[in-house]
Amino acid sequence: MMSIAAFCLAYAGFAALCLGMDRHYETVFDRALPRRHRLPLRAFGWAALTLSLCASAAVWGWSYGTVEWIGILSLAGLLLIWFVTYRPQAALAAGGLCAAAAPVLAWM
Amino acid sequence: MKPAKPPQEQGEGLRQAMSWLHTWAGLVLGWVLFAMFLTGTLAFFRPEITHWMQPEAPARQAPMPAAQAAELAQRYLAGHAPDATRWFIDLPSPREPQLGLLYQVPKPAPGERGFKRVKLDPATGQEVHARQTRGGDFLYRFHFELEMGFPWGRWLASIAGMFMLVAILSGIITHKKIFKDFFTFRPAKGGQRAWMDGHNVLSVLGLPFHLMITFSGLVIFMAMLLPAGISAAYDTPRAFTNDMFPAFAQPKAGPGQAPLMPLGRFVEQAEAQWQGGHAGRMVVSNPGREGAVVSVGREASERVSYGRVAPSMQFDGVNGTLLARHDSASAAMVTTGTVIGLHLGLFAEPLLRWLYFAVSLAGTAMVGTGLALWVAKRRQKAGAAAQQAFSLRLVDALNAGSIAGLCVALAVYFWANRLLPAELAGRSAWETRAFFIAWGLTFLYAFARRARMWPDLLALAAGLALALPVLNAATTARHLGVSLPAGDWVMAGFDLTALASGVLLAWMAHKARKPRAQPAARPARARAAALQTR
Repeated sequence: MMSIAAFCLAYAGFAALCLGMDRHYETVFDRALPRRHRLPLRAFGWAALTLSLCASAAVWGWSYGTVEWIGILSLAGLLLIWFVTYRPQAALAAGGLCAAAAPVLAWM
Repeated sequence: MKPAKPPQEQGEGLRQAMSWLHTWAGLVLGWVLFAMFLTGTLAFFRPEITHWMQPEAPARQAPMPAAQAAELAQRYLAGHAPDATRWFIDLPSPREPQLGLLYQVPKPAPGERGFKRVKLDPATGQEVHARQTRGGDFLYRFHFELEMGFPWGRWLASIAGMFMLVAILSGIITHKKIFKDFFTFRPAKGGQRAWMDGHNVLSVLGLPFHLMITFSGLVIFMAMLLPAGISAAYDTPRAFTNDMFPAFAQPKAGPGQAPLMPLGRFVEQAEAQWQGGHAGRMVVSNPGREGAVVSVGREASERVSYGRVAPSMQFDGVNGTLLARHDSASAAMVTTGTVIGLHLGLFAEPLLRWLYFAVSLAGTAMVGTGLALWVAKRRQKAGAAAQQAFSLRLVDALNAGSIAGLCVALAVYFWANRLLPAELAGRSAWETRAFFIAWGLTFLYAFARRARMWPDLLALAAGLALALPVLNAATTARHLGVSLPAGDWVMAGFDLTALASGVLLAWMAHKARKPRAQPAARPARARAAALQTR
């Protein structure tokens, strides 16, 4: 479960970073990215990516976990980009869902 | 007087130079790199592919304990190869539960090879009689030898690897908006823009893997590429390999006969010293003679850092004393071992192996989209007038042959495995011949029918891949209907992967069929988009 949590955190982190960029925020909300949203989104994104590394390390240990994490990052990122291209709202909503699911998965 | 250039323009100059380098370094060896990437991706599942290609071999079982297996091997080899100079024994492992034996025949008959290879089923102790095939080993070796003679293939692969490294580094410098365009893919814009986005996304997201795999691939051939350090430190190359790979050093045989001790006790002794580590490969030199040496090597997949040189112990085969112990624990050995281990991915457990596979496919698509981008960019720039330009036609046809054509050829290789009669002489050679004949024909087709080459070849590859599980069901008793309920994930995994690749290729063929405006641009873009889903 923790491994799925690592993936969810990676996806959620990328989704937040994506939403924290002008171009993608505009496609989703149809208005410019306000400054007061930018920082929290980016902070959340980076925090989620870091937590994803921690989750990965908790499952596999630091050396193996880091390699696994890099793989998870690439996969989560490619998935998000593909999804965001065709269904931007759904893709970023899925990011929120992942963020909510991650702690539950981690505790299970 | 010339005004000094503002610093920004100098930056553009570097970027443009790097862009040129990236374009041409990528194009010149792009076709070779695509083939290396795709076969290398498949080679992460080398034993599994071999298993699928030998459906007669027993299904995967829990491996027999190493000591017991070693004695089984000893019984067989003492009966069949008592006067061999060396025995190589691959002990059963979860991924390869059969006993792999290889022995050196002292005086091979003319025309025969000096090494004989046998697989034993540990459950019965009998030889496994399966159809002759190179299986996943062909893909593995093609990945770095390109089926050329030694050492030419390795050199070509290494040069391609160096071009890849140059292309990656110059690509990073050229890419102006790595962070700004991090999540950007705009297929709707079509043409050059869409290709560029796809290429960027595949490259940037997989960058850690691409850098690692390219650099580590070169490190594997370090001794061949940069031999000066070795010749400075060692008298002969042989002395270096003996030092580097102690298990393969060939000790002198004594004059007389002397019985070999039971091999199981060496395995037990070594495993006890490794504290839970498992024995992977054994080498017995001069079996049955004085001066026999038994080398026990640890399972290479147990740690990343083992790379190709796992710890090993050498014992006197006659009286059982420990002669030497190699733990490869020096900083340099651990570093190279880790770099090489990361490339081979033997340490990876199933989940990570699939991640390797997925990101490596993204790397394959990166090369493919790069090649297609070369054509799309020039086509767009030159407009309709240059549609017929010779260079564009040539590169486009070569792209189709090496991208779509390779997919066809790989599918044909697996088809040949099922269709060629099991008893055919030189069967495994015919399988690879089928691969190359099919590949050659796709190039001919690409040059003959340029307008239809992309959709046709991709559709052909898709059809062949989709029909593979059907063919498997028609020719063996281990099809999906059997393998899935039985939990035989090696057979089922192959069939399901063939289906998934077929669907992917069919989608690419469908995309390639669409508008005529960007004939080459469509398939690989579809591929790029599709691969992002993995």
